[in-house]
Formats: sequence, C-alpha cells, structure tokens
Amino acid sequence: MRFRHAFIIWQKEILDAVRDRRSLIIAIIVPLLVMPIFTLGPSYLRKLQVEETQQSVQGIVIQNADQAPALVAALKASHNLKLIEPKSNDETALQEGKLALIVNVPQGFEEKLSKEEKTSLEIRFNPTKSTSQTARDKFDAVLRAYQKQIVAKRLEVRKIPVEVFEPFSANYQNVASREQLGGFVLSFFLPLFLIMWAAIGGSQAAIDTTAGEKDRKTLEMLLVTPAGRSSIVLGKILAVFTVTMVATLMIMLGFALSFTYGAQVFGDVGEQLKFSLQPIVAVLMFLVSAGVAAMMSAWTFALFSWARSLREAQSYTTWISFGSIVPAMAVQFRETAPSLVLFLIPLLNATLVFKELLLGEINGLDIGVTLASSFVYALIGLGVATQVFQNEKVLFRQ
Amino acid sequence: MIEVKNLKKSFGNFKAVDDVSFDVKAGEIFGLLGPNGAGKTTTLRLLSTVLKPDAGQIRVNGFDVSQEPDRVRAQLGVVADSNGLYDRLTATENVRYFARLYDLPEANIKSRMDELFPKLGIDEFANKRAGQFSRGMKQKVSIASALMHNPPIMIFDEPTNGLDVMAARQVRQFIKECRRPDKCIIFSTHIMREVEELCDRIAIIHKGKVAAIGTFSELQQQGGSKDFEEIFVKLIEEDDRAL
Repeated sequence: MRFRHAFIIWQKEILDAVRDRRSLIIAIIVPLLVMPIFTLGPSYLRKLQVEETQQSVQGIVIQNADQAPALVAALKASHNLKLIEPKSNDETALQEGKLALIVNVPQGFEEKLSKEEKTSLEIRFNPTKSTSQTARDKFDAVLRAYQKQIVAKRLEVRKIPVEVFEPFSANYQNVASREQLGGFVLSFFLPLFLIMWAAIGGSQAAIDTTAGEKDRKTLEMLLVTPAGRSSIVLGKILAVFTVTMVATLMIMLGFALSFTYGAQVFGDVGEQLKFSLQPIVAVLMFLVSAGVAAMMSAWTFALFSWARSLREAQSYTTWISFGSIVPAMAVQFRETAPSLVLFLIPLLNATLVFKELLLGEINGLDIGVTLASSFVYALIGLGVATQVFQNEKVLFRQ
Repeated sequence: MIEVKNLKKSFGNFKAVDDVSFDVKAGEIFGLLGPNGAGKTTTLRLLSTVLKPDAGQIRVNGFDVSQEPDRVRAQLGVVADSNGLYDRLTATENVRYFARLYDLPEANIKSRMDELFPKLGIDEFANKRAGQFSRGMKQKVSIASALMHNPPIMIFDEPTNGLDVMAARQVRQFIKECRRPDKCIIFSTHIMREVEELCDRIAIIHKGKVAAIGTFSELQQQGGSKDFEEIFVKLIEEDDRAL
C-alpha cells in the first residue's frame, strides 16, 4: 500500500463531495438543523398551544342560568369563557364545534345547594373538538373553586376548620441539577442522532465513491493506475470517514446552537433547556463518535461496493439508518447499569456511553472498551472492503 | 514489449479467453479485431491487471502481470470506450488526478498538459466541468488522462465507439501520432477500416480464440482476397467450422 496514492484519492473524493449538493445536504444542512428542530421544536409548539389556549375565549351556553346565579357570576369573573344565550340549534353548534359546552342547570339548583341537598349539573361536550376540550378544562377549574367555596362555607357554619380535610401538605424537592435535567432530556435525542449520522452522514459520499464510480465507468480507469486496491480502498474510506465526521460535528454544533441561543430566539422554551456540556464530556463524545464513524465508514463502503448500481446502493441506506437507530432506541428506557459485555456490541456500546456521559458519569473502562472495539471493527471493515474491491465478480457485476 | 502465452479466462462456464497467445513489438501498432463479445476487452483487462488470468502468462515490458501488477500498470496507458469522467471535476482536474496517481511529478504535469491539450483540442473546455461534456469531449479527456505519464505501452480498447465522424477521425489521427520506435500500441476494434488504416499486425479474435494473426498482406494471403471484410468473414467462418 502507498499512502501517497491513498492521500491523492482522499483529496479528490473530498473535492467531489464538496461539489455534490446531495452530500452537503446530508452531511451539513440536515444534521445542523435536526437537533434544534427536535429539541426546541416540540417545546416551542407546546408553548404556542398553551398560550393560544390561555388567551382564547370559548363560547358556552348555560341553560336555566337563573337557577345558578352564583355559578354564573363565578364564570363571568373568570373571563376566559363567554356565556352565550341559549338557542334552538345549540346541539348542532356543539357537534360542529361552533359552541364549546352546553351546561344544563336543573330546577332549584342553588336552592338545593343552600339546603345541602344533593344535586348535579349536566355538561354536554364534544371531545373531537379541541375548543370543547379546552372549555371543559376551564369550566372544571371554575367548578372546583366554586365547590371549594361552598364546602368552606358549610364547614364554617359547623365551626370545623378546613385543616380537618387537609391534615398535611406534600412538598416535592427537585434534587437534580440543571445539568442533570438537561442531560436527561438530551439523552433521548443526542445519542440517537449522533449514531444515526455516524451511520448515514457519509452515505452519499460512500455511494458516490463505490456504486457511483461503477455507474460513471470511472472505476476501470482507476484500477489501471499504479495505485493498488488497498490504497484505493483506504483513500476512499478515509474520505467517507471525513464527511461522516463533518456530519457528526454538525450534529454537535446544532446542539450547541440550540442550547446556547435557544433562550434568545425562543425565550422561555430555550431558557428551560439552557444547558452546557463539560468540555471533557464533549471531547469524549466526539472521540466515541469518531470510533463509530470509522467503523460505519468501512462497513458501509464495503456494502455499497457490493451494489450493482447507484439505485441499489441507495436502497441500502434505508436499512442502514433503520438498523442504526434500533440499539439507540433500545437503550432509551434502560435504567440499570449495563454489563461490560454490552460495550462490545457495535453501536449499542456507543449509545450506552453517550447516555452515561450525558447523565454525568465518566466510566473510563466503558469508554475504553467501546473505543477499542469500534477500532477493531473498523479494521475488520477495512479488510472486508479491500477483499470486496479485489473481487472481480463484484466489481464487474453490472 | 508484450508477450501473451496460452492465456485463459472463464466466467462460470463461459470461456471468455481460451488459449490466446500473441506478442507485440516496439514501434508496432497491433490490432485486435473481432465481433462484439469475442474476448477482446477481457484480453485487454487481463493485460492491464484489472482481471486475473485463470491460466497462461503475460509479460509487459519484462514484468509479469501476476507477479508485479503495480509495475505493469505503470508501463501502461489504457483508454477504454467505456471510460467515464468525474462529472463534478473539470477536464484539468480529471487529468491531474490520474497524472498524480501515475506518480507524475507536479512540475511535469503542467508541461505535459501543455503538450497534450492542444493536440487533443482540450484547451477550449479545459476548465469546464466534465458533466457538461459530449461523448467526444469526454473521450479526449480520458485519452489525456491515460497518457499523461507518457507510457511505453498504450492500449486503446474501441476508442472510437459512439463518436461522431470528426471526433473518431481526430482520435485515429492522434493514435497515429503516438507511434514511436520505442513504444507499442494495442488497438482493439470491430471496425475493419480502422484496422486497415492504423495497424501493422492484426490478431482476429473469435469466441475467445485467435482465429488468425499476421500482417495485413499475410492475412490477405491466408484469406485469399484483397478485401479485408471478406478476409475477416472467411477466417471467422473457417474458425467456426473448426470449432
């Protein structure tokens, strides 16, 4: 093997990838956006929904309102429900979502309350309409306050203190630090995307440099140069690895942007997720990502070299991305400490290490085993890829 | 400069090259003539070390293809009809890439480009990306890429396939200009007129075997005709009867 030839091939493949729009989208634009979208996006949408719900006013009808003047007064005081005069087509309006609730007050409702007799309200709502659901929640809140008020009056008459019904209060204290909370939220997203992009970030470059070379009919020109097959394979795999590492960096940069500037752009939502990684944790995560990227670059290169055409190679990427997220998903809900053997399983090991690091645990042995095993798998992948590139049946099986 | 002895190559049960022997001397343009699927490209792929022979021996400028494939490749410049280019690289970038892989020093790359580009008419599109090129333009760049290192042995495998009349004529003219006393050229084609125009000696390949070999006049004698097409058909029919 001549490293000079591998370097020349690496240079050319990088130039080719930089000029390939699809490569840039997969390796730079999508990974840069994916973390902000998945972390800030849902929180921001939830915030918008909450604000909308709080600010909007839903229309409700109280039938026989004169039987419950105190309740009506409480509803009017709440200002977030609009009382509408009953009409004959109220049922249809409720079905269509134009009306949020119909409350039917029975005859003598307040009289019965004053006599401490049992009575009930009939509230008709439509769960298929969000306005009706929201109005129900608001109406419930007013009812609970009203009921509490009545109970308090009854207890006062009987000279019974309210504490009889509330002997103590529970005061929950959050012991997790802001970093731990942020790490917990992140441990759901970051490992998943880091692994996924380590697997597919360089896929377009890998396809282009293998099946693409067959499709363009440039492969034979390359094979007749003095560059040996192992130099060709090394140069190309290093190029795929470089593109993959750029994608990984973009994931981390996207993450840094979301958590650094999220507060400025999205206000409260970004503030809740404000979180910074310790530099050592960021470095270790990058190292482990590099191990995964090296392994996946070699193996995906071998796989794509096998493909007859660009189309066949592209069809493999679906399976690669699906296969890569399975271990990441499996780890999400695992709480117990994993055994060391699990750190020998490719992809699963890196996901476990990412989760440990994000939850503030730096376990040298777990990281060492993960890095060493990823390196060994990368070398095996390089060997397999070189064998595939020596196989004339594979190279010329178009 | 090239010695091929009892060369064999099969793909499954199909014998693509079956006991082929020939040699090519310095200063010679040697033609491989045969119909499509005759085994010409497989023979040339074996010669350029892209494929490994099942049996037989090939020596290129003294180097054995099985023992020293890297050295063999350094002696060769291979132009195939199927050669493509990297679409996102310019003509110059494509040529420079291959020149560097042939270990041509950076200082020599420019001077060699200055020599080859005007000859092939590449100058006018040297800095355009190959994705926009016609087939003729691509073939010119691929010829320059293959010959940047000034190899002693040049292989042209059906280099005029798919080219228009003018581009094909330019390529043939260029091949004639490549003839040197210390170099040899193998020219493979299925077009009789090209063989007549360019080659000193010809091997007619049919069904993986050498059906006839010799100079143009030797083949005329063997075929009993002056018309090369008639000679070709007669020799192939004789070969079919013998099989």
